[in-house]
Amino acid sequence: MSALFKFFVRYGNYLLFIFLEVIALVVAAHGGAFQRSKFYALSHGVASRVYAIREEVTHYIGLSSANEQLSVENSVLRTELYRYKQLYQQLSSPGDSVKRAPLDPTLAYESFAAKVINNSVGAIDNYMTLNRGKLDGIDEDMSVIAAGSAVGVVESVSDHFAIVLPLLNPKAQLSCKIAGKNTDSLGTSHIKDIGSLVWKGGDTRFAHLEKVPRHVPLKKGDKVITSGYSDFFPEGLQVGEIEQFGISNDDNYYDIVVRLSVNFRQLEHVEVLNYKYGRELRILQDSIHVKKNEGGKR
Amino acid sequence: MKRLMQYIGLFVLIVAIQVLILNNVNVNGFGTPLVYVGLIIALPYALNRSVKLLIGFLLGAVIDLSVGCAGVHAAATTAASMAYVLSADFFMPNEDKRLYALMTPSPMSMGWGQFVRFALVVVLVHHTVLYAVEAMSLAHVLFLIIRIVLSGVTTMALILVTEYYISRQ
Repeated sequence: MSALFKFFVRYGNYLLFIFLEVIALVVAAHGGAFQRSKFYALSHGVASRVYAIREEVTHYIGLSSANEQLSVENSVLRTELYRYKQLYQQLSSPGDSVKRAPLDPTLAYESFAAKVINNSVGAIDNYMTLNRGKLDGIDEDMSVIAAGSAVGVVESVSDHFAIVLPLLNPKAQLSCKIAGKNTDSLGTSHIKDIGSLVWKGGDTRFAHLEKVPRHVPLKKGDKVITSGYSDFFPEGLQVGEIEQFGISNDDNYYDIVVRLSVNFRQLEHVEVLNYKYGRELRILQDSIHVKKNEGGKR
Repeated sequence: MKRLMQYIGLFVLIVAIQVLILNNVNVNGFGTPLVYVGLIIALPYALNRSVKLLIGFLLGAVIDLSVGCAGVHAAATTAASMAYVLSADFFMPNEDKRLYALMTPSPMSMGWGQFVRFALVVVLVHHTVLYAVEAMSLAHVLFLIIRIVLSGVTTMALILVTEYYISRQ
């Protein structure tokens, strides 16, 4: 008996070591069975709660790359969206099934993702710089949007950068429609009238809508969307909503304040829209002016 | 008692750091630093050997539970504490055992050279057992060795940096 006791005193640690290792290895070998056990479920519940807290803390770190990814994805999807809108119009137009109506050229848009790398909002003459240029397919007169809202127009491009004239610049004028509150995504809504959006400096959240005649019934909260009459923007992009409106006595037009839907101070990811027939359209429209001028001379 | 509380606090802290941060670190795709081995290295020299083994096992079990790979870390940490038990006598200066009885292995108590060697033994045993048990085969020995070496290097680096800062205070 004392021999056994001596044996344990002498080799107890080795026995303990072997015992613990055997437990660990047996559990490791039956990993699947262990993971099905209630004990594991309990511990895993605690662990996953801790992981959830960590996720709360760390998911901000990955947010910027996630944003980048999303903005690229957005631009791809928007390009597709315009193609499908075009196809939808073609297919839903009357006509026999063999000879379809031609594709609607006003929906031929292609979208590029870009990032705002410089942005002035404090000045009157505000400009914005994007990290994409001619080599990325950006060109002058393309429209710039963010999350489906109008932002501005590309003013000039270099190989790698583009300067945007944002709505927050008095030089930028945007033809807009006033739509009722219940505008659906296809843009079919009751259009009240059209006007011209201009920013006159000051508060970056608000701009003015001009040339809306005083007989039009307006309501606070009416949506202001792009009209599609400009050569740059597709129809139906969000611009903002009517914050307040009034009529001065000696004027035929409303004085409308529009709350812009884009927060220019926090703008980071934008999309540049390429209207494939923009150049053609502008050349055609310019040719009318040339003709008119020549006619006047004659 | 105070030392025990300190050790428990350190235990919780290092396990949390390991599970929440370091397990997501990957140097070259292999080298995950496993600093919780440092908890075994930091056990007091005079602690009962069986207790050392049990604490090692407990540490591995806690890591296993929080990571969800059953038994693997427990096997490795138990082996690591056995490595401590067997090798500490070689590395501790043996002039006056009683003087060092309450000491933990550290650059201050053993000198840098001895400490690096001691830590290397414990870390290598731990990593070897860990990755071998995890792989459950010796089929890809080269791959296994690469993992052990890379992970061992990052672990050693972190342990030594930590010890360096402790020793400067």
